[in-house]
Amino acid sequence: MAIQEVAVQRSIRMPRKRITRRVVFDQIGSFLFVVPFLIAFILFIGYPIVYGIYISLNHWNPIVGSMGWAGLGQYADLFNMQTLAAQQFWDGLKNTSIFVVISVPLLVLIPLILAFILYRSPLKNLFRPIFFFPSVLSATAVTSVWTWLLQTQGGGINNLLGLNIPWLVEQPWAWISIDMATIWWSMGFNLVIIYAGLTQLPASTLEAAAIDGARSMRMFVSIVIPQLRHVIAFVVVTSTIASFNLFAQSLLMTGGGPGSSTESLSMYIYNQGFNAMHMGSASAMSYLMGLVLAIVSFVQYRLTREGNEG
Amino acid sequence: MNRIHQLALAVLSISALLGTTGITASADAAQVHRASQAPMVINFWSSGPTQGITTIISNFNKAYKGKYQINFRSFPYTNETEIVNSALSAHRGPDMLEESLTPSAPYAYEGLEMPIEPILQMGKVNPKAGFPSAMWNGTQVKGVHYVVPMAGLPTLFFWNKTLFKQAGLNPNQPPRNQAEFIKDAKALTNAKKGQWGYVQEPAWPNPFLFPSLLAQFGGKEADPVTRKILFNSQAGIKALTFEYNTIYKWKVSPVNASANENYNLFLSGKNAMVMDGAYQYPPFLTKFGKNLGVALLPVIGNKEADFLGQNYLWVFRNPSMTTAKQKGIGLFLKYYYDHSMTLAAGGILPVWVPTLHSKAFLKYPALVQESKALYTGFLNPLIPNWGTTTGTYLYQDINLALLNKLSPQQALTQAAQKMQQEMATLLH
Repeated sequence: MAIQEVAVQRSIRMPRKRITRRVVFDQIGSFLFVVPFLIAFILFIGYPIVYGIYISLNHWNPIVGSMGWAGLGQYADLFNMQTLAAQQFWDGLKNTSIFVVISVPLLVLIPLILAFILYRSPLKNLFRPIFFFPSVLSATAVTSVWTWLLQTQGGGINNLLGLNIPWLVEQPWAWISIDMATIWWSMGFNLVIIYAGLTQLPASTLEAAAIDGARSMRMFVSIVIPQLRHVIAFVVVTSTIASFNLFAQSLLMTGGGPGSSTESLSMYIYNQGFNAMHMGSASAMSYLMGLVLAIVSFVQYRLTREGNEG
Repeated sequence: MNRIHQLALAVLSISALLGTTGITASADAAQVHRASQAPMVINFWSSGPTQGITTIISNFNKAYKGKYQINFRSFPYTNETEIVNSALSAHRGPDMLEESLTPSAPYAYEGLEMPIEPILQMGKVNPKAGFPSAMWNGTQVKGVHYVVPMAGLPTLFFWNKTLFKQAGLNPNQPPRNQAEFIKDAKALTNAKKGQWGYVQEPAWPNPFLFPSLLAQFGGKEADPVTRKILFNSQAGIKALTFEYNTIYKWKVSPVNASANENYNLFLSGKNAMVMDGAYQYPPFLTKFGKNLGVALLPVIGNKEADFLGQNYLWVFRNPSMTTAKQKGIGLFLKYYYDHSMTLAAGGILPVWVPTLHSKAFLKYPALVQESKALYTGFLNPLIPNWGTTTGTYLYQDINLALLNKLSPQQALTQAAQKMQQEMATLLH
């Protein structure tokens, strides 16, 4: 007999008052289990979100607090290109978008290919931790090493290649450098997720394809990619969000240069809030950035879902 | 698990969560009890050089054992403003802060700093007699002194004596003017071998070098009273054109030098001359010893002028700031200046006139050279957020000029327009 049926029969036998008491008791018990999370959520997510909106509606100095009500003025300023805040915001968004457009496809494609090679390799247990290792390093350590390698005159890479490439000081090299460092640093995480997805594929499908004479490339394109669509979609969305938050690489490798061409939106917001002490304006920028990011993620999600449904 | 157990478990988890607050509260109470028997703690944060200062603090703590205890925290110069502002926002800021001069201005305008002269009086420090006038004058906000100099960081000229000898130059005769500088730099350059007379980075050390050269050509960065931007004058264009020419006209500097290559190539013997802040002296001295030459900047423009760097201390008006604590700070400052020869031993230039005039100071000839800048040098205009604003606008556009993307005139005009706009948003 199904559990639900037993429960229904028992409840039929119980008096009404006792049932009500039990339901209330159940609900309170369940609610109490949620309370710790709820407290943490309100303290660390809910309250900051609401308070952040309040700050963005004020001329806010991080040290002395509100210096007058601004209303939606600071949001409006971000659409008035005569203001420095708007110029910086849209410059930062443009720079960040360039980075996202370059980095996300590479952060998906390279781990995807590597994961497939590893999956079929007898040395997978050796190389999987090796590829994952950079992910555990701090941004400072990673950027310091890459900055040293990419110096124009005395850098390891230029000396090795016998070239004089201005990696960190000229475009497009500055973006290439930041992308190289980012991919090296963070692809291990994506690789592990994709590899986990690969292990869930039915081995029989790949075996059947092999028996039918399909080569690795055909299996990769026709079996692996379609079957891993959900995993790839997850990796695309998380990589996009992570790339939109570009900060340390630009700050520590190029200082935002040449000029301000690698200064990301996060850097602008950070400078606006903590250096220029315009926290209200910085908060308005953050919410607008959040909105842009939400739209991008929503579009990606819809596209993936439509792809799946199709 | 029955429902009673589930409920009990849930209640227990919540109690545990809330209980931590109680534990913290009782820990705080214990701390307060202990504090009543302990010496008065003075929190001192610094992004300045640490050579010598930790010894002075340690000796002060021994000398005033049981009365005052200086707790010192050093943090990197690159993000000091953010660290301090975050701490102040959380009411966890320091009592004393050592930093550049201009970041002190916003705190003064916001009423967050204590006037420094009464504190100096408590420690019997006479600032007018004790500090070189260039380090003391021009540091008031609305007529009040809030800051006090801690160390000198003038812009200096360093050269590698060995490379001078190899190029057939007199190793003890640094260039004294623009013509000599170019002549020496050409003699020291062999581009094919990656050997450079001088390395002009597009980014750093322009916040030290550009103001120095600008002043040498007779210009000023800005007027702190009217907040008018002045660096886009003819003097500014001449200063930046000089930097530009070292790369593209005289070719004594590599194109597209990366950040720190000026320093790294000097240390590796591939760069013969450096114009940068005095903070480079200790590492250069460690590397080259007697083969390091140190002097004031050559006169690239029309007259001697030297940006002094800015190593200042101020006291925050925080809730725990009592008269007794102010007295402790005054005593510490007196102790610090009286023992500032310890800084000299670490390669840092003291700013206390009695130390600079003492016989013991003559044991450090490079610092004696350096100290001359304290009498002829100048500071940045005391405008709130001057450092971060110039970092965002002026030095980004100078960067583009030195990468040959903008002419010196275009770069300075563009930067001046943006900075003038930004001036309107700063605290008054």
